[in-house]
Amino acid sequence: MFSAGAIGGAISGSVARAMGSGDGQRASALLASAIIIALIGGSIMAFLVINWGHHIYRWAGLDNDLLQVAERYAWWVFMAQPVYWLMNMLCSVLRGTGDLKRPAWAMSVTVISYTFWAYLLLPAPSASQELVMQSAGQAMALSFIVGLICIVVLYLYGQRPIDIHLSAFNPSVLGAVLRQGLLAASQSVMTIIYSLVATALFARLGLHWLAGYGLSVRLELLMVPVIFGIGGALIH
Amino acid sequence: MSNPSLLLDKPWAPTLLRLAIPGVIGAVVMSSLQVVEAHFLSRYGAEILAAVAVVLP
Repeated sequence: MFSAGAIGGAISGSVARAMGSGDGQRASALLASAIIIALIGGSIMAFLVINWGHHIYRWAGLDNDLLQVAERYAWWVFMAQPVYWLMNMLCSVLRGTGDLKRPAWAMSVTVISYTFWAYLLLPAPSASQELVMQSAGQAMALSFIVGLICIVVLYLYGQRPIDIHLSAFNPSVLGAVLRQGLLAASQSVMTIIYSLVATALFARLGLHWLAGYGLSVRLELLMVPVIFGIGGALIH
Repeated sequence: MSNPSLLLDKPWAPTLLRLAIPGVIGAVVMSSLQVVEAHFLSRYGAEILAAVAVVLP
C-alpha cells in the first residue's frame, strides 16, 4: 500500500514532471531515490512486522497456536518486502514515464508465478498448519522475486526512458519525493488502522467470521484498479 | 520521453481510455494475487484463512 500507492504515486508524479520538463538528470535522481526508498522502506517494514507483529496478531484475537502459524507466514512474506517494494517502485517509475504496459506485464508474471509456486510448494490438506503457512509464505515471497526479476529485465532490455546511475542520487530530490510520499502515506495509515480495527472486531466473533472478512476484503481489493488505473493515466 | 501534451492535443476521452487500459489491467491482475492466494488456501480451512487475514488484512 505504501510502495505501490502513496510513495509510489509520489515517485510516478515526480518522474512525470521531470520527464515533461525534459530534466533527465532529475529523472535519474528520482530513479536512484526510488531504489533507495524501496530498500530502506521495505527493510523497515520487514523489521517492524517480524519483531512486533505478534502483538497485533494477539490483539486481533489469535490464540497461541494460531499466532505461531501466522508468524511463520508473516516471516516469509515480510522478509520479501524489500523485493516487493523494489518491484513496485520500478513499476511506479515506469508509470511516470508514460509506460503502463511493462508494469502490467510484471504484475501478470508475478501472479502467474505465484500460481506455479503455490502448486509446487503447498502441501496436502492433511499437512500441519505450520507447514501450510510456511509454504504459503514462501510461494508469495518467490512470486515477488520473480516479479522483480521480470520488471528489471523488461527495463534493461527494453527502451530505457531514464538512465540508471546511482551517482545521480541527490538528497534534495529524495527529500522532496519523501515529503509528498509520506503525506500521501497518511491515507494509507488510516486504511491500515481501519483494516486492523475491523479485523479485531471480526475476530471477537470467531475464526469463521475472521476468515470470511479476510476473503471479502480481498474481493474488495478488486475495486482498487478503477481508481489506480485511471488515476495513473491522468498523471500524464 | 513521453509527449507532455498528449491529453491536450488529442480528444481527451479516447486518449485517457487508451492510457488507462494497461494500468487497469495491471492493477486488476495485482489485486487478484490475494484472491488467488485465498483460493489456494481455502482448502486448508477457516483457521488458515483467519491467520492470513490477520497478517495481511
